[in-house]
Amino acid sequence: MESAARGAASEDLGSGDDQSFRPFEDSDGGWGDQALLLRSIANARNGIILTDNGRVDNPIIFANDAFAALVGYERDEIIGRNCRFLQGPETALADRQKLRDAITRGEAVHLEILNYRKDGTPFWNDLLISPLRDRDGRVTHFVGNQIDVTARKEAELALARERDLLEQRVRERTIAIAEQRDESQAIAETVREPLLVLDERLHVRWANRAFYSTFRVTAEATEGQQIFTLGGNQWDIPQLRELLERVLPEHESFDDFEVEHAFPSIGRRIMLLNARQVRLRGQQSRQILLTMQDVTEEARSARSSARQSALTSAILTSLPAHIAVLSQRGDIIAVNEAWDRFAVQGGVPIEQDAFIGVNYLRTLEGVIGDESDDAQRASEGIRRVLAQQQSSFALEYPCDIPGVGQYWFMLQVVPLRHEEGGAVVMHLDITERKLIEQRKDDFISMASHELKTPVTGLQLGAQVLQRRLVRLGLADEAQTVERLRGQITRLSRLVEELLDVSRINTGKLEIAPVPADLVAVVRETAELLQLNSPGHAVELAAPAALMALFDRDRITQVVINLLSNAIKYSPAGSTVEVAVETVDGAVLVSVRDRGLGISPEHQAHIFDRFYQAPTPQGHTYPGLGMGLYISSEIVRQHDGRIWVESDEGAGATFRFTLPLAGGEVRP
Amino acid sequence: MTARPSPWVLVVEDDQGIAENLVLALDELGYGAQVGATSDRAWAILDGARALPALILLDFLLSGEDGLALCSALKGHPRYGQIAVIVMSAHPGARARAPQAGADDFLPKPFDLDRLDAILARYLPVVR
Repeated sequence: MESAARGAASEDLGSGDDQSFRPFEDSDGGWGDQALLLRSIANARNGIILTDNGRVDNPIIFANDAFAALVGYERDEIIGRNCRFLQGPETALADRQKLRDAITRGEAVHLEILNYRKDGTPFWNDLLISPLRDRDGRVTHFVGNQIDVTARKEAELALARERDLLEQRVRERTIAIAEQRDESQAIAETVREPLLVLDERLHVRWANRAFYSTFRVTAEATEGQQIFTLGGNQWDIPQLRELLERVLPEHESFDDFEVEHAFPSIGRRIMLLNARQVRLRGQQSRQILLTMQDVTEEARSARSSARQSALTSAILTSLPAHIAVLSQRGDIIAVNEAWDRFAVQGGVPIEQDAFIGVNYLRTLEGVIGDESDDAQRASEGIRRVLAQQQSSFALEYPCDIPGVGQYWFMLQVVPLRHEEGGAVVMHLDITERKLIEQRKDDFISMASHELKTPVTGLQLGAQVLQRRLVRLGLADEAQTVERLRGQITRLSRLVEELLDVSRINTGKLEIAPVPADLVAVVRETAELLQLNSPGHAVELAAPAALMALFDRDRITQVVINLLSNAIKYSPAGSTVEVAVETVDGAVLVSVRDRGLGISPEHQAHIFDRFYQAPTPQGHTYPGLGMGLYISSEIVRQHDGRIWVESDEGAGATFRFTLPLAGGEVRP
Repeated sequence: MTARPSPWVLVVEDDQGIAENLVLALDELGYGAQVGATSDRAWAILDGARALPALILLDFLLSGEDGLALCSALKGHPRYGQIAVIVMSAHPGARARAPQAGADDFLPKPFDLDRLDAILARYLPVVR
């Protein structure tokens, strides 16, 4: 339909025969080339229309194919209408007014106006309107020449938008840069260390307040100055100059460059300098941010603490003891040189593999059961100290070092006085002391044995002599020899006690407890002593029998010791009370005398080795102070307890306990 | 001293003091005695004796020699092996070691006449 209509138009124009459409024909018929002209207009690529200014509202009387194609209307929809039918809601009022004015005035006008096609799509119309005048100058027609410039127009608009956007961004960025500079400076002001911003020529662009207050200089004397000229060239240090000059060209920053300098205003200080290359966003020039940290106090205290720590370390190194510090969990966190040397030698099982980082408790547990239970005891002791159940722990232990011999060490564990807890472990070499002790014990042992032989000879000789004197009827002489024999027996007992002490020291006091009737043993001993001490009364209060677990010979020794002491310290004619009873699941033996008693300060030491309690007159009783010590060791090895109760002047009661033997009574 | 027809005791003891008192004590108890201060001397006495001793009292520690070695040798001897040997010592460890060397008994030092009498009575006929 459309093409048919257009074809018709072309036909009409082409032929030039259509008499009804000859707008330019005048009365003269002066349009000789009219047909040719019309044909070219009809075929032009621009949309061309003619309006009749002589008629009401300037209707379109001609439109070429290009115009119809441009606006999308059929020719019969175009002809007879005013051009404004192409205008739409977005068409600028100003453009409409321009058009109207030009038409009214009969003038030409050229504008770009937004028009709408039949289908409603907008397009930009490059519109040139020119009046056609007759001979009298009256405007008879207008020629409208139009081109679709939508693409160009849109490109122009996009360009304009882009430009606006760009300008907007530039405006924003400019503001941002300014804000950023303000912000950076605000941040820099909060930095407590002095801070400088240097430009590429190392001139100060800006300094924070801390800089001014620290170095007591003004902004006038600082800003714009080269750093090396500041403060009487105090920063002109060759090494600093070299570092600063490399920051920008080589993107080199530096940290903690130490400067020690006598500053004119603040004296000798130690400063740590840090430099960074900075470039504010949007700014081309690069700058150096230089901070100065006054570390004078820290450096001085560090030097002093370094001296202190070197001293501590030297002390620890000089100590012959092997020392390790354990964490709360038992990890080795520090050792001294002696420890390290020993651990490297690897001679001692409980120091072997005991390096920093290793858990010492696990190391100990790893050697438990190897030879003795020392490692076990050490481990338990350290645990107790770490858990603060015990304020210290000590253990003496022997250790064989292959190729060297036997050593003795004393393990000492004390809590580490530190908020995180832990412990200090020390192994002291006590081999020398042990050797001396060993020699002493060997000597006591040897001397005792050596004494026994002459005692035997004395005893035998005295007895033979006594018998012969009796046979000869020399009773007085025989009595003298009898007293001599009493002294020999006493000498013999002292020798035996010395041997016992030596056995206790060397751990060789052997106890073989068996279930037996303790009452029978106490009774026999009491009767024997009563026989030998007719001047005292020995009274026994005990059940018929009481089974306890004990070494018969050794407990007899204890009872003899307690009873003979009681008799010795009791006034003649007094009674010594002996009791055997069951108390709290144990057997309790008590020996009570009516002597002078023992003061509390002596009670505390009376079971100590070689301790001799003085009499109230300040004298000591004869003896070597071994009896009670040996008795207490014997009782202790029976898992019993021994103690004394005494009120001074009212006698003393010695008591000891022994384990019950299942409560069975021997028939 | 010379061997006697009555039961006699060989005392092997290097300490002259105790040896003399032992001989005195044995005499008091009615036994004859000869003393050998060393193991060589002990062998010589045994080899030269007309009658074998009824018993040997042997010190555990002879100077420079092991009394127990002598005890073993005596006990392994075809002729002397039957003689009872009593080891004397002031050393507590000797009590356990003596039976290993074949000793018949152990007498700890110091001992008195009654103790000596009691142990001898176990091995010798009472002569008093």
